[in-house]
Amino acid sequence: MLNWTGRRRVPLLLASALSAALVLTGCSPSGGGAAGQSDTKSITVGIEAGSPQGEFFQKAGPEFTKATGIKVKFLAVPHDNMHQKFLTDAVSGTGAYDVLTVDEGWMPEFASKGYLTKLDDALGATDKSDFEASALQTGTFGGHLYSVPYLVHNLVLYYRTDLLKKAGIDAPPTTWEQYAAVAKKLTDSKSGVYGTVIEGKQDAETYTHLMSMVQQAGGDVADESGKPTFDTAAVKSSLQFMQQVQLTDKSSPAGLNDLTTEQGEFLAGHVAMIMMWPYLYSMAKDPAQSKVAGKFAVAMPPGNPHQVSTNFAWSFGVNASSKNQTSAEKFVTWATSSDMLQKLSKAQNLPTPRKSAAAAIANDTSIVQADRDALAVFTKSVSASSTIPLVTAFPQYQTAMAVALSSVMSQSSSVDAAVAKAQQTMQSAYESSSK
Amino acid sequence: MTVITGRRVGTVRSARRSSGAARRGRLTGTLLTAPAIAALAVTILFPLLWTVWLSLESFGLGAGTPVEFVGLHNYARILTSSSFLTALLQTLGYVCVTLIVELVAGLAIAQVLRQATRGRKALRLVIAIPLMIAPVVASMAFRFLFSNGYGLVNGGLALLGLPTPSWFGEPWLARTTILITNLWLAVPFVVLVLLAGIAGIPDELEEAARIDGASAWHVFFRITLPLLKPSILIVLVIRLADAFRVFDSIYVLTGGGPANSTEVMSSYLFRTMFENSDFSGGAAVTVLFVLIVGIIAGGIFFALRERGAQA
Amino acid sequence: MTAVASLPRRQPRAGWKTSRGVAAWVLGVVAVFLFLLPLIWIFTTAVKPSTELFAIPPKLLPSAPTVANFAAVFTNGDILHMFGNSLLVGVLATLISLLLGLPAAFGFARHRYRFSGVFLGAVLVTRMFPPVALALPFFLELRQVGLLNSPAGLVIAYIPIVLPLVVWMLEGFFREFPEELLEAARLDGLDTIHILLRIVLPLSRPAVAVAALFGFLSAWNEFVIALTLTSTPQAETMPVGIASYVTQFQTLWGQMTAASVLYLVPVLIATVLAQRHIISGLMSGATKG
Repeated sequence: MLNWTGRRRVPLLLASALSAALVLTGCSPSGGGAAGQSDTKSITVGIEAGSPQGEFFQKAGPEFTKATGIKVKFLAVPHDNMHQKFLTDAVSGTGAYDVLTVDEGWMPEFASKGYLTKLDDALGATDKSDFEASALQTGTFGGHLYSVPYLVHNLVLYYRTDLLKKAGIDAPPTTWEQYAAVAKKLTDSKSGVYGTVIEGKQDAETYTHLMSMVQQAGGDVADESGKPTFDTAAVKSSLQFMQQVQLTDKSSPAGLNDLTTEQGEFLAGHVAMIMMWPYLYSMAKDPAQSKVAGKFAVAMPPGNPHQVSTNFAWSFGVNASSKNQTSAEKFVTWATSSDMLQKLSKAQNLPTPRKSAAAAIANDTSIVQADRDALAVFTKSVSASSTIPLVTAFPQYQTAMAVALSSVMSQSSSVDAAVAKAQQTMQSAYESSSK
Repeated sequence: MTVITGRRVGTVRSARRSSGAARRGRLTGTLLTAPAIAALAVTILFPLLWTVWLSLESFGLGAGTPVEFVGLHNYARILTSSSFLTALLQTLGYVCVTLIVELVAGLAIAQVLRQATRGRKALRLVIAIPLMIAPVVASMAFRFLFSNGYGLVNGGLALLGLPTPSWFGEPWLARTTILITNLWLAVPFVVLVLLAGIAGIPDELEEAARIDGASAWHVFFRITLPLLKPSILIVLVIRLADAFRVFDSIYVLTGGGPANSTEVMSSYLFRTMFENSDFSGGAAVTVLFVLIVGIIAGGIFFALRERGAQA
Repeated sequence: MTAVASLPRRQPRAGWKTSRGVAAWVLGVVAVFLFLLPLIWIFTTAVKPSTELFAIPPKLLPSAPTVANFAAVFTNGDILHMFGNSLLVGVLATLISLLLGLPAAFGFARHRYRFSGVFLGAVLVTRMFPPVALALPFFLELRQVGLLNSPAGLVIAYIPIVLPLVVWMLEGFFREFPEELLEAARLDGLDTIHILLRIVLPLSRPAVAVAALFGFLSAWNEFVIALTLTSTPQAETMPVGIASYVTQFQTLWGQMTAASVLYLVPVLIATVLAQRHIISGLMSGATKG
């Protein structure tokens, strides 16, 4: 916290006086800083708005209450706002959110600043070894565990089996070249169908596509120490490829696309192939939500030459300023228990980070073969790939990459200039964070 | 206008009173105004001064992060960062463009509306509506309207056989959406103030000029416009301050993109604090922002006083 | 029509019966329609089922209007709480600003003293102030006193936004207040407080109402400070809630417009009821936040 000098006390006292008067209206201020172990057995969990996994846990809330007697309320926050809202809450010391859904990108930042409670003791040894080692790594910083993953996933290829068949293509593309060619072939402006969707908007998700492509090209946006290596051939060729498909071939809808466009257009049947997260699978096979149910499949991401995608983890962590540490930890361990993760994996056909859950799914005979095949693709894609560099400056890397991507895709900057600029931004962020 | 001349009338009035009553009057005045002044001092002045002090330090808001005095280091860091300069230039550009367009559009619309004889009351009500609507809500509406495919703007353009661009996919188009959204919110104010100003212009002046054979343009530029100067200056000062504040439309419509082309000072400040967690940098940006707005607004304000003195 | 009668001087250029008049009328209707399009879109989308939202080519009117969106909003406890927060914070901030600002405006207008001109100038200058510049200091200050994410903290933060506006609008009005009435009251032996309460206030109701309305609106519509200082529906306001209908996966346009309608209707009603005063208040150089 800030060290206070006398000079800072004055405006603070005046502000306090004014606020004290207002407190009388009955709006009680929350005391600053975490109080003692006065666990109220009632927690608030922050989840991602619109996320099917968030909704899964929300629906399972009553189960948790029944099992532990702890009341739980879920607050949904849009992805773009999560960092700001959770940061504000962590910094304010009020602990309005007891459990946070932690995006792997800012886990190191939050952990290094003391916003997340260490969970080394919350998870037993058997539980820890039940997780894939790489999965727990996504929640580990400085040798301590700060968040426990419920989903480790990456981008895979979703494609329309009917459209590919009609065009005489019997297997989904496995290389960039094939991908671009298939996309071009299947783009038919008359019927309003596009071969693919290339993302280019400046937001909190589009950069994941760029990162994945860079790894497919054999490079990475940062080295082992987390130092940015953005001004490299792999990054440039990725951006040039995206430009080619979007602007030259015009196989993707015009404009700067994002996840909303990908999801919307694919479910509406307007696009033949997309690079997408596993969550869409159960939505796309549901006729109530999708026009392409039964007409699509998933495959490994096309490579250049590596068929990989960057792994990202969604986890639960405990807000260090929460007043209900014990209850919050109970939620985290419950939500990431083998039983819950197995249910999640089965309900939404998602890969799971726990070995026992994966084994249970493998033995579950009620799962249809098509779903099993898709799950196998998701799991194989994750195990073949590596995750993001766990550096505290990663949120700034994210922004820099998003800016570079959108400036290239909006043609307001050349690839070289955009990449150089992003490298500079990332480099200074890296330097100021490692001081 | 009352804002300029009011102060002079006041000094004349107080001179008339006897010294005892005057002293009591002054004391009363002090007591009446003190609470408000104190409240504003506490809620604006002290926080600002504190921010200036903070901007000279390097601090974080995590556990165990040290606070150290770094002098002007934060300013050096911010002033040499290309994203700050981009945000600053784009803010200044936006303010200039929007003021010019608002005035021109406001004048044009006011001129057209003054000729409307029927439904004047209803028209003024309709015009006043955007002023009451939350910028966030209006921006959400424009976000849909400017969308690709299902957006009504492109739908209308398609109907007319015009090209349908991707409004959020290209820097200048994205800037245009911000401009249009803010024009919708702001031009009504300009129009209403100008209509009031026009109502204050005696018809005889314009009639006389027209009888003398002056063209409509001539009448407008030589007679109407000069007489509208006080209203225009009021509009300028107020809209200048409002234009610098723009945030809601950028947050909702473009998020600063594409490629930071719609980033302005307020969104840059927000991003610095809550995306980069750079609170000492945020303090420096705050101070710079206040200085810049203060200098520009102060400059226009003093120009206004000059004209007021002449008028 | 009273409008024509009260605004004389100008001969109608084109009566509505001529072809030029008809063309002007048609153009006027189209212009008004386009001008109100954002508002019309909000209201029509609020009753549209989600299946009709993204029709290409776009259709303005729903073919199967539904109340599902409103039902979703009314069963959403968080959004309703945010509506309540907006109301609470707006009303409190306005009341406090009136309590502080009314006497101050009167003092600045009728009881000048040595530096009152400077102070008035300073108060008016704060109207020019970008509120986002207060985001950081308020964030840190409220954090220290534990008032982040609370309606009380938000009320404090809104005072520098509402108070200068109220003073600005009332000072000009009070300057025009007839001196004779004040003199007469003074001769009757009334002290200043009673003059304010018994003489000035009753006669200033329209002006105070307009100042209160614009002051309230500047808090009601405020976004960036609320976004910065709140993190949960416990303290978040409607503008923040409306903006968070944009998720990564889709934007819930139907519910968002339904919530917006709820948020706009009180404002629109107030606008219609007080239109005469609002417009004259605006046109005399006063302004909204």
